[in-house]
Amino acid sequence: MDYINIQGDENTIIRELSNYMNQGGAKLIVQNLSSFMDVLGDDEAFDIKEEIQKQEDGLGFIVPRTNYYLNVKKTTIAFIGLLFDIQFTKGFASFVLDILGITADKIRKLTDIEKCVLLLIRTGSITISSGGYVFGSTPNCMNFALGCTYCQYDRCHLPQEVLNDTVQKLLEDKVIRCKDNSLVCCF
Amino acid sequence: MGKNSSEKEKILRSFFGEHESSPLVLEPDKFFLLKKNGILDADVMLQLQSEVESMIGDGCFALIDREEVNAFAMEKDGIPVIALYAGAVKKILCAASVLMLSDAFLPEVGDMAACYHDISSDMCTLKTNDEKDSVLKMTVSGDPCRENLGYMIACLAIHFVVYHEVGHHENGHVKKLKEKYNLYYSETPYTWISDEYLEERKRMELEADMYAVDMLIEKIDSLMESWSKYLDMDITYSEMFQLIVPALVIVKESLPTEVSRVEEIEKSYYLPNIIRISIIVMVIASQPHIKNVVYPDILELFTENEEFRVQFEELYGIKVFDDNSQLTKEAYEKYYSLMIADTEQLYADIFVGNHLRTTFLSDVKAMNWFLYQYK
Repeated sequence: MDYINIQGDENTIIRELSNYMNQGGAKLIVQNLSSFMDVLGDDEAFDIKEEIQKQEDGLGFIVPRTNYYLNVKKTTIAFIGLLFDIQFTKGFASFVLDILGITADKIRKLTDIEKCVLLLIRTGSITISSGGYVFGSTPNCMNFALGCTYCQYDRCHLPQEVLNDTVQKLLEDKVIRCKDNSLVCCF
Repeated sequence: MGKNSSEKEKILRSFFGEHESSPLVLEPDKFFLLKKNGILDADVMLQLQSEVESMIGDGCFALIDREEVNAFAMEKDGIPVIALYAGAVKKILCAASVLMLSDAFLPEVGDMAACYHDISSDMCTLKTNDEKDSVLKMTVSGDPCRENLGYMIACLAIHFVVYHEVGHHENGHVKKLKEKYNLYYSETPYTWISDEYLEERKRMELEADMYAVDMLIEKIDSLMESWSKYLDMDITYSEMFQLIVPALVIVKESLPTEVSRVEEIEKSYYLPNIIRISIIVMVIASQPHIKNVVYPDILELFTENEEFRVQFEELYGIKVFDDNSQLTKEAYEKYYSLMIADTEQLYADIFVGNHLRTTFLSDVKAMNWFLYQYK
């Protein structure tokens, strides 16, 4: 499995990620990756450390340097990029097509709520129970569907009916599948 | 009298540390190889340098030969310094030139046949000199009118960034922080920094922004005069306002992400970028001499286009005209807010590839935070 391993300040991360997508998209990923930490696997990491300015004879008003450490699978970056509908470079687009096939395009075209539910499935927050789909416990809001009325105190309160319909749609689109009585992504 | 190159090099080298091997300081006329255009070229940068150095009193303004997108104000051995990174200048110029290549930006201005539909950032046309990576030229489709507008936008953006740093010196921030706080370069968890320091830094950054706005408003007249003279055409406040908004959007989008990461707003030195530029645009739009020109222009737009006015009123629930058939305050504010939003969407279309709502997650969170915090 290919990993993207980058360490450095924001410019460095964006520059390296620009090998896979356009620069604005790379910046968007960097801006939002910390919101999707739960999506990362145990073998992946995204760490942020601020460097505070030293003052001796003068204090520079440099924006505090933030050091990033990124070690994520290419498929994870592809997944987040698809959710944000970012344009990939030709090479990375081919890679994504090889791995995900037409599912890639389907992910791009999902609605905000469907993308949110997909993220919840990816983080293991939704399980199969008694023929339906339920939250294991009230999950944190993924903050993906802007202005979502089901978000209360940063928790997801998606009604059962909406959850069932959305999961069903994702199953029909073959974006997810059932495996051993749980839901998994098809990639 | 300003410092020469080698004096500036010495000052900055001692600030950055001896491990920097390649020269730090670029002279504007060695870096700005853009052809003389009267808007943004070596002469204009030298003028800005001279202006800034006289403002900060026996200080120096330096162009740093590094690709970072940043600028800073500092003091070394009692000498006030303002520095602007070459990376920042290039990014601003590139963004301005690509915007002008888009047929969705300022349509009907210049030769639209020279523009592109659905342009992407891959078409950045900033060509640099291979040897020193200086800014050689900015190619804008061969249409001189749109090329000039691109230079104007970039010029305004660069002036704002530099004036912001001047603002730190003029407001005594650099001296104050030196006396009051003492911090060290290290990888330190946020918890180490006091809330008092963070609040003070946020206030200082806002003061620097407001200083930059005041300077830009003062500068608009002289820029309009010199551009009008050079290009042999009249430039109005309305037109300048239409250029300032994209200039500020470019500055916002060029700034490092760390100042806009919403989860860390409380711990950031800055208000989120979307809040910063919204406040700045509001201050500029509120200036009486600018309002006196922009108001009637927007009024005329709504008067001549009934369908647009009706759609506007229905969509935003705002009455455009008051009982005296004058533009309402709400309509004016909404209109210039939409100018920011439209430019942001276009920027996202070009540089991200879409303008989905999720593309603006950070901005929306920032605005919600701001409204909650300051309601």
